[in-house]
Amino acid sequence: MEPVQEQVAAARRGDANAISDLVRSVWPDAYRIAWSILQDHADAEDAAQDACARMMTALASLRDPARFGVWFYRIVVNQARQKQREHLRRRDLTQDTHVVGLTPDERIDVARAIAALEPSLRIVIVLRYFYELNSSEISAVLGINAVTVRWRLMRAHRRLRPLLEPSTQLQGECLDEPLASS
Amino acid sequence: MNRSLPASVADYVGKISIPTCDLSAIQTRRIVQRKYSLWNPWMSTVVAAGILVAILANVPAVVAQVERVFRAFTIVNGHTVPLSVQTVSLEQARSHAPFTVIAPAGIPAGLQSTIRAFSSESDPRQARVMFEYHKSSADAPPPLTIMETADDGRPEPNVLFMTKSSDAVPVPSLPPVPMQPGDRQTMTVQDYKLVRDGKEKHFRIKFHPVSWVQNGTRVTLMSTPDGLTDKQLAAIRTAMQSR
Repeated sequence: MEPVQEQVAAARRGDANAISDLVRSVWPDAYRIAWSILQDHADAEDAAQDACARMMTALASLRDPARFGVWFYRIVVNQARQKQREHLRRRDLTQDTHVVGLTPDERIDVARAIAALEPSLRIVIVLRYFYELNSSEISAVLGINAVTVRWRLMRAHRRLRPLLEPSTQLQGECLDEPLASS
Repeated sequence: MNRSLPASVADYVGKISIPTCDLSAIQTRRIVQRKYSLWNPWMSTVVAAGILVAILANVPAVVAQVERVFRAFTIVNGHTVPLSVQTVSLEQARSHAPFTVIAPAGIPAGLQSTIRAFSSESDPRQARVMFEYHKSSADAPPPLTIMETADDGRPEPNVLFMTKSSDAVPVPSLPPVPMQPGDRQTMTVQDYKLVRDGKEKHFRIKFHPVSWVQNGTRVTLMSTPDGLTDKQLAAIRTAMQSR
């Protein structure tokens, strides 16, 4: 078994040390995912902490421990979205700077361009390329249709295309399954 | 800089600075989540608003709101157990507490105090005395709270405080209070969940309490924003230590 799965199994048995170890193990992922949506330290930390707390409470109800990752990421995404909604209520979130129109000549770091993407596109490419989830797993994490996932991947890729190496553009890397297949 | 998307995503994610995992804060949030979900139906029937104040008490600390009902709970084996809370006089607090109650001193004029004694039949360590100092306006958080507990060298038990109110005001962030040598270098995180007109608002505040041990009693001073100045807090501490 993977170390995290061992921790999940022990935590589900009520082992307090295992629960603490599990939280420590998943904390970086919780924060990264929350940050990818919120891009604000305090909010991301809040969301990640809330997600870990909910995970601890709900762990016993996890039906398939082998799918702990997807299940937990979903909790994190939900907490981050809740935080995002609170933000939207508090102030007008018009700070997103889209990368439409950027050209390679501008020599902008792609990582910065990723940071400037809309949260809905950014989280999809982080889950796809950093966590290496496929469309159906991303779909489960975000609670959206797999077609929508692939559509968002394509949109993100289009936004970033001017900054990417020609050899890495389009099919194969961007879409794990062709859109037409669904 | 042209490069591949996976490498760029890894670059982006790699630049995220991950804060330390605060297990205590997560545990507190868990307690608050569970408590709130348990009380939700009840809360919805009570007046229009409520405040939930959760305190992670490696350092004892509390800020109350517009007060109607004050409750306190401790955590025993993961379960919340209510503490007995009584509004008392200083003399009653002294006779009630199993430790030496240090009378507050050097308190600025114009503040009115409320003294509360907390106790638990099952755990004498939970005993504590809290002095809350309010300005004339009841709508503001108390500018000064003083908590006293026995200092037996063991970690403070976790305590959850809840104040319900008919109205609530957002609690602004606290200014940092300089830590003195010997103070606990612990920061307390509090979560405020305010419900107004059926809508929840969430506030997070970090406290820098000033704390010291005197005659076997741990004394902790907490000040709210726009409450007391550092100089006033230092004066209170000096005056109390001279007793």
